[in-house]
Amino acid sequence: MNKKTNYWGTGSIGKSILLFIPMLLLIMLMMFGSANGSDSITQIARLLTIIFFGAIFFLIIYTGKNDKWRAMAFVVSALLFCISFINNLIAERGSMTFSNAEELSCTIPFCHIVTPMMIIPAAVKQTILFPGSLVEGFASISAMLVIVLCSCIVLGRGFCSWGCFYGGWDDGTSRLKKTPVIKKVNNSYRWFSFAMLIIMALWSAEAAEPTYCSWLCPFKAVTENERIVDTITLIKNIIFTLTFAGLVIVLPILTKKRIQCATFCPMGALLSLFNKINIFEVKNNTTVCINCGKCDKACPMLAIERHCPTITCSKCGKCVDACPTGAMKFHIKGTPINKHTTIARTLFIYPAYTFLVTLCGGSVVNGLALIINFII
Amino acid sequence: MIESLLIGLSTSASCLASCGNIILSIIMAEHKSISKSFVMLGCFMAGRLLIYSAIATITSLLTSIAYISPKITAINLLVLGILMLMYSIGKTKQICLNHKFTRRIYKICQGQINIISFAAGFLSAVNICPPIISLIGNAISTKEVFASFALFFIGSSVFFLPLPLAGAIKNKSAVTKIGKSAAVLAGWVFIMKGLTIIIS
Amino acid sequence: MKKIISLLAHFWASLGTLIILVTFIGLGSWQQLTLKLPFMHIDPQYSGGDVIDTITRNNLKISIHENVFPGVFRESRTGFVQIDVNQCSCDTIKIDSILINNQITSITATADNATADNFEIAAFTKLADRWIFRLKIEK
Repeated sequence: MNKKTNYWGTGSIGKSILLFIPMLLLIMLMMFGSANGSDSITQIARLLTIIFFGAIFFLIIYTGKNDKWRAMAFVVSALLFCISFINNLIAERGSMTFSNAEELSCTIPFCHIVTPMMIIPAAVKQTILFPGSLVEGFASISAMLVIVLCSCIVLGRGFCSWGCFYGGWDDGTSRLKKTPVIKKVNNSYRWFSFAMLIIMALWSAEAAEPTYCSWLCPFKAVTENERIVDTITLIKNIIFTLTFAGLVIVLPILTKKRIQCATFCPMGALLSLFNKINIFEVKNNTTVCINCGKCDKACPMLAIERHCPTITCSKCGKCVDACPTGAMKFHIKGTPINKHTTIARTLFIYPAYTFLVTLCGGSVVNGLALIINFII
Repeated sequence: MIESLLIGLSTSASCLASCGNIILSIIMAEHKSISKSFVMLGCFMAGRLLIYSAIATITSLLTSIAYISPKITAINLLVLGILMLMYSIGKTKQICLNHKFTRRIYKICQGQINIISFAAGFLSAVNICPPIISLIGNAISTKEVFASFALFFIGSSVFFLPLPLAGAIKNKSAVTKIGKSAAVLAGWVFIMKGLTIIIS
Repeated sequence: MKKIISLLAHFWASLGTLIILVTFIGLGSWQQLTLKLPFMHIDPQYSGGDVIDTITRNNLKISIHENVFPGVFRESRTGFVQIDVNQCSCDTIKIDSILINNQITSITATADNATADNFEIAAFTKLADRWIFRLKIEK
């Protein structure tokens, strides 16, 4: 811990550069190793992406501020992912919607949010209840399952703040206003996502379809959605438009909380269970805590009870940044709370940021290339 | 006869998936001891048993399958959905106590949970699912209608038995809130199912 | 003892970046490994089920899939049989009572004679290399 730069910064450019260089090399490895094109615009986009991600990581290390810079990378990744994804859909199919052609040929990209709804059918019937490709194509089922499992082991629910390309929307809209209009949001609402998990898992097994995706997912508004062919598909489209407008745009702006992620997402609830076994956590050193409540106000995931993070903590670091005494900190389970805290933070930031770059880097390059093409 | 028991056992998981969320959300929201949770489950099962007995009686009298139109199924699902929504409102003090109507619902939910469980079981069993239709056919052919339905009921109730253990989970605050939320969601799911049948 | 646990915890934490790199760099291999898991099959209601018969007629390859009755805990009463027909350059494709208009992506099923049963097409689509259509069946 360093008192010069708000507790967690290194305080020196030399140390920061030392910690930054390995990450820069990793970023370059991931960017140049990805399967994007080799034309000049893509090369420029790739270079910009490397500079962007590199700069963000340097600032995280140097300034000691976790959330502000993480959010920048996270939100930009989410926006550019959607731009890139929608562009790919329009190039392949001519529209954002999918028809039964994509369903019957099993070419729908697999989304990680489907995972909770797959568990019961996979256990009972030994099948995947999703019209996607097992191996080929973009976002194949096997690839996404491997990535989700990796993130569960390494990050736990940290996936929600360091990986999920939908969470960036929520994160972004929750920062648009400086002060919340709705000041008091009951933290108990976070348990609603667990009810979503139970009901969606059971309903999907009973209906033999991924019901959250079919009926409720708000992010269909910014990815792909079912073509309107009858009243039922019209109702589905109305529901996802309303949930996106309400849970991803309006309520996060009014409350400055990530309402969709904290209260609605069944995948988030499932990942919370992995927080129990994950080695990293955010912990409050109660001997230093002055009970000011700033962590509670700052937490966007409604995850703090009595100044202590609960299992729904997504390790975004906002409470760590907000804490005036340094009581809130990244911590490695099994180690003393008041020792090696900077090491714990660095050991978490490294894999978390690596995950963000590797998962979203390709989409960021594609998205940037599209924007540059558009501008030129 | 054994076939009826086997039909029930094979249906039990399906029954749990479609109707188990109702009693599970009630048990979690109440978060009472395991014995009291079993009483709630018992009331839920009693509601189901009443309907199955009625179907058995009609079958033995008519010796044919009673037809239930999709509209009745849809209305039943809507009523069940509204019951779950009312129950979850009734468990939430903050919403309740400002309005006379919701105050009344709150008082009912506080005192009459076993009746609510019974009503939920009753309404959930009204939807005659395909296994019951094949059971009716089987019962008519063996001429042991009541015994067939009894064995089917026993078989289909097996997977419900572990549900009262949810009442024993520590962290009462989290469990009750998840239960109330699950009741709201279950209510909306049934309303949507009912509306889907009406629309299509 | 506490020091040993602390050391092990730090060691496990430091493996995080390595695990992520190994996962992403070796993603192809991990994918092949996951395919061996018992549940890694697309549900027949989406994939159409296994092909049980292939017929060649008028230079058309017709693949007939198994009967599929969707459901997780129990099969539903209504299901389908999926039939794949490879594409040809012809304007229409006729298979028994099924007439496929290749030009405008339409498909009709009619009974040719009084003794044949009418059947209903549950879904159909035209892909680059084949037609897929599903005939509705009931138990």
